[in-house]
Amino acid sequence: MPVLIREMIDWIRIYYGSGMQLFAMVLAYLYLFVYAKELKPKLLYPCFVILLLLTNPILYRFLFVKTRYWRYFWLLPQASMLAAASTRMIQNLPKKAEKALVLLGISAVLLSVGHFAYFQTQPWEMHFTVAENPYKIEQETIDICDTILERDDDPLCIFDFRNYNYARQYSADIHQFFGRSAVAGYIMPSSDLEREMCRQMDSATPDYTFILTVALENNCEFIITKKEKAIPAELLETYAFTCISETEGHLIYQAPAIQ
Amino acid sequence: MLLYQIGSSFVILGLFPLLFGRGLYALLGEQDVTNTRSYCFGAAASWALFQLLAVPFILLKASLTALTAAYLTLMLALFLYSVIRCRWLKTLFRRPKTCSRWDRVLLILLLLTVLAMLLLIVRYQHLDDDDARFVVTAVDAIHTDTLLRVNPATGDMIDAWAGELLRDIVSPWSIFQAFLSKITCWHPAILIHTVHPPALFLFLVFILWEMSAHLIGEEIRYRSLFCILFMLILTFAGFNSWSAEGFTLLRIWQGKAVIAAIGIPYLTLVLINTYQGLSRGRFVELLTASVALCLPSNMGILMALMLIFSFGLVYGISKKSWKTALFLWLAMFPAFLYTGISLLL
Repeated sequence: MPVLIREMIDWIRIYYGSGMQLFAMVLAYLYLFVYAKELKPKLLYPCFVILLLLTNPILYRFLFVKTRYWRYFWLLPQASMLAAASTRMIQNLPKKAEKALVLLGISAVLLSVGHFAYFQTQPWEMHFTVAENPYKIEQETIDICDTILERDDDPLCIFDFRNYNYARQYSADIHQFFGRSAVAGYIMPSSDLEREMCRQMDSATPDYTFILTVALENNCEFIITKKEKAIPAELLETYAFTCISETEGHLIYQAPAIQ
Repeated sequence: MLLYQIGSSFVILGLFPLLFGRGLYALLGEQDVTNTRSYCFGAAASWALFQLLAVPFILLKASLTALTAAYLTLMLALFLYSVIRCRWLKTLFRRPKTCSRWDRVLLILLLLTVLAMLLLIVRYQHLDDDDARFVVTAVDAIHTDTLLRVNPATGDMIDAWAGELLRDIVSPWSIFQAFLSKITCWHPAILIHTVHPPALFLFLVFILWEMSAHLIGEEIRYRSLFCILFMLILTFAGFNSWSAEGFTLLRIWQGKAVIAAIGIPYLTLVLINTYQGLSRGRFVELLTASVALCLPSNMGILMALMLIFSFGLVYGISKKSWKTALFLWLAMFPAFLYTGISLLL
């Protein structure tokens, strides 16, 4: 039991990130509890019941731990309660000047303590960039796919990391020897060979002898690598692959012998 | 072609949910409903009907074309039935309520904020590896005219479902997006990443507007302020990528983010509405929301159960009526059904 409770606390800490957010949320709920009594049975008490369910170690052990526990905290609204408490605070003030001052204060706190999400560059999982195209796939990936599809309308490819997650979003004509399923149990089960190929392609020093051998044995016509991980020239000659094109960061190899 | 794509997107994602919602309310005998509430109900009902149809079609290994034809036929039939039966079209345009100067100012500010958010959503992108399954499933469905019969990672046809695809059978959000792509003729990646997110965000805004009547009261200026503050908090408060707010901003097109951004708030709104009083219309709304929450993600199924259970328990105690609790808990039935199906798979 103590282990379960510790796990739950760790997840709650991860979910709420900085203590400030949790603190602000608790304040908002308390404010509404005191100043918006009509919301108690309608919304606040049900949220409290949800909180009890979420922090129940038995439910955690037999139900929540099997899925993503932290996602269940979505059931406890944050932004809407913060906005509701702020609005109610302004609404309850008698004078217009006071309302304007509090509103300016809240806006100032947000703008100075917070940061504009769309300009954020770190961490990667919160990263936004300006869209390069309406597909919202990297333009380089699209260029690679277009180059491949010009030469074969039904190609079997071996992509490097990240491109194997994006190429098929652009075109279902492209088939892959492996995709995200070769990474840690995503999508569908994959074979040992697929996982090893993925591991090699993701590695800083890929074993291209292995990769090219498997590619030829499985009729993989195209291999795409980053420029800094180019296939050595002697291996290209041995396995009859040629570099047919390059993009800003990638090289595209084709085995012309494969039909 | 571009004209058709834009026009059809406006109709299917904008106009039709509004009209469909009004029609359904008319069938339920509720005439005096706002357009925002109608849109929310219409969109939720569209999702719920798709969920009811798609799961058997997937299990029967039918084609996307067959599912599209059946779904459109059902939707149009229901819509036309509501028009003929209830003759509600005359009530579509109503004189708006009179507003004071400050109400108008805040409303205009709200509209500008929403417009700014929509522009940001369209202009910026967040690349997410989970789209290797979600978007590719839709691309494959369009390409092969099948339903979850292709391994998204490799492009190979599959004989049996396994892994994460088992979840998609019971919550076929990607297939819903494939349907939208088929009807509007947008490439699935364009529809999912660029066209659908603004519509989903508007859905969220309408839910917020309706929610504000309960949280704030009827004064338009404060309801507008609530919505504006919500959007400011959403974009400036630095929520991390785990939170509902983070998911809303980062990947609103993905099923699990739809649960966080729209599903949970909508079901919460519908549950709060039932506190005002129970009726056939309110129960149908609740049942619809419960089914709709199952479409975007498996997580929606369990979350629907938790929400309805918690609200039902509190409302039953508050009103000293176990009949109230049981009435609400009846709406858990679809979630139990889909839980059963997913356990059998």
